[in-house]
Amino acid sequence: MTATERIWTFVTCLVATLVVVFLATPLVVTILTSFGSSSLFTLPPPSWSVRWYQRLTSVRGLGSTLLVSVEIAALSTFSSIVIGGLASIALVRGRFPGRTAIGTFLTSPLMLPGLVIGIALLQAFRFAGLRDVWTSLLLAHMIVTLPYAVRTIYSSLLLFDFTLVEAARTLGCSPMQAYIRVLIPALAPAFITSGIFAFLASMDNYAVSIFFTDAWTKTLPIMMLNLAEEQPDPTIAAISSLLIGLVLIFLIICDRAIGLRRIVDQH
Amino acid sequence: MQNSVLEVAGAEKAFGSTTVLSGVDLAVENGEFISLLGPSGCGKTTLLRIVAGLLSADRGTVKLSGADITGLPTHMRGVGVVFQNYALFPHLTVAQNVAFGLKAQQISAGDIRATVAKYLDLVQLTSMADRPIRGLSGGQQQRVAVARALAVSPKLLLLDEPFSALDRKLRELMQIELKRILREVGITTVLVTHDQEEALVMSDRIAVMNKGAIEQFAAPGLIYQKPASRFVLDFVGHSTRIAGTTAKTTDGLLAIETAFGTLHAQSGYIPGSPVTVAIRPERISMSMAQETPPSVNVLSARLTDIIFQGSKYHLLFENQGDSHLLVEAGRIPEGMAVGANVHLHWSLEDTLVFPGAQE
Repeated sequence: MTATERIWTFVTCLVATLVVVFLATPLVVTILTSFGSSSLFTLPPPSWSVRWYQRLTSVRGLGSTLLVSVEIAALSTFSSIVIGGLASIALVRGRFPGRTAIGTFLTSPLMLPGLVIGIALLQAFRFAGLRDVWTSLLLAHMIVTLPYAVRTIYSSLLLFDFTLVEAARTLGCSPMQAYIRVLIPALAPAFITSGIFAFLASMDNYAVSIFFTDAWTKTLPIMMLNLAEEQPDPTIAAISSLLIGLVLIFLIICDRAIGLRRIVDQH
Repeated sequence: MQNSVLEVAGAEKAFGSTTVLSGVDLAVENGEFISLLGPSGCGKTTLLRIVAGLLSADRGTVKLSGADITGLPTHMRGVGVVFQNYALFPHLTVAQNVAFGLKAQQISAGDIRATVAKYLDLVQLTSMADRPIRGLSGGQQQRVAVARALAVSPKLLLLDEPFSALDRKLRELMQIELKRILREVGITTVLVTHDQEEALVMSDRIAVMNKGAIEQFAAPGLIYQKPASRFVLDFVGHSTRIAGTTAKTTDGLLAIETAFGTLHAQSGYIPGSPVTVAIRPERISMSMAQETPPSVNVLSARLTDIIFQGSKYHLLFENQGDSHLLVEAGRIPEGMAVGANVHLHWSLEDTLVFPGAQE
């Protein structure tokens, strides 16, 4: 190794380390404060305890809020994958005018600020006479999660060899069976990847949700912000730490199932 | 024709304003191996896809073992296909690929295992049964594709340029191997290819296609020795061509005036029509002797080049300017060198005549 190469290796390692520290510090701080005994965000904490985790059971409405968030996230993710998958097949296989425009339109919510989508949907729902909070939230979150599904499934479909479907048909599969037995397994990584991103995007969404919640039905991010305003203690840090744990579990499952590298490569 | 496994009648297909097939008739006998040979864009792949039901013809019928299957969807036809890229399922192992078609039918797990084992043995891949597709060589992938197609016992097997992904040595090996496998199974087969050697080596009969029509459908020897059209002559093998004009026919011998003198042929033409005389280059004999050999067609020309081709030589001759005549020989006759004047002669049967002047 020459001197220049050594310097470059050193610089690369240094920059990489700084980036990791910058990204990881807030997460580590959150987890540390959640295990502190102090009700203020002090570091290092005077002593260690799990009292903020015990307190979670007494936070009023946390259970029902969590349920709403998970329901909305799961349902919107599932419907986005179904709708996005079917739309992607049409976009890749179909020969009709305006294909590119429709493709761009389906992914456009990713490029629009959440607040803009929120206001637009609020007015649209009002106009349509939709007043139910839960339904409004679900529809709004489908619009937030759809781009993740379309983008990932569309790009894997572009790489998919449709001769495989023809081969399945010559082997005695009806068109429907051929898609189920060949296309779905081939796209499984795309379904899982887009599913995780969509689920997390929904769980995490604040900007759109804020327009559709009321005092009784709200999602987790909105409740956490309310908590931060009403009683700023490490209870939120405890909730955040649990969410970090949830994401870690997701990533480990994915790594075991299909490999993290393949997920990253798709984007 | 009760014995025909496949019968295509009047098949027509157009994509937009481009006609791809213009009324193709084709009948394939039971157990026969035929090739659809032609350049890209001649419609051979379109015809294959119509037979497989992956494409519907604009007009015409397809019959399989006497039953009309024109409107039947692919999965109900019982036509196996080996695709150009093999189209193996990447998420399955070798054995699972072979079992794929069997699982779509109502067959017990034990029978599936037995059938898969039988066909893996046939293509000599038993030891690879549990390997993933990804790591297989091109030749192995081809054998998996063949076993997968045969495992469902189709009435007809279609091969779509199955050797084009293999390098030359392996291709020759696999052609012989595949012929052995298919003969063992005794299945009627249609091969689509643009490679004349492949078609000549493998087929019982060859259908030479051009511009959406079959120009000639005959045994390989006949295709080569008696091409039915200028296109077949040009597409299959080399030929030496001489432009000429027909003259009188006497005693059943047609005289043709050419730049090399008068030549004779069997076919009947009206005097005065422009024709092309063609001879397969290995059918021409050479002699240095002064006296004319006792042959119907003789001409003398100057040797301009000798091209060594390994197992044979190509010799180029010319006479008065730009007419290049090609002769193929296993060895160079004694004393023959570039610049020599040589007598070229060939028999009446080897003299082919086609209407129209040489382009």
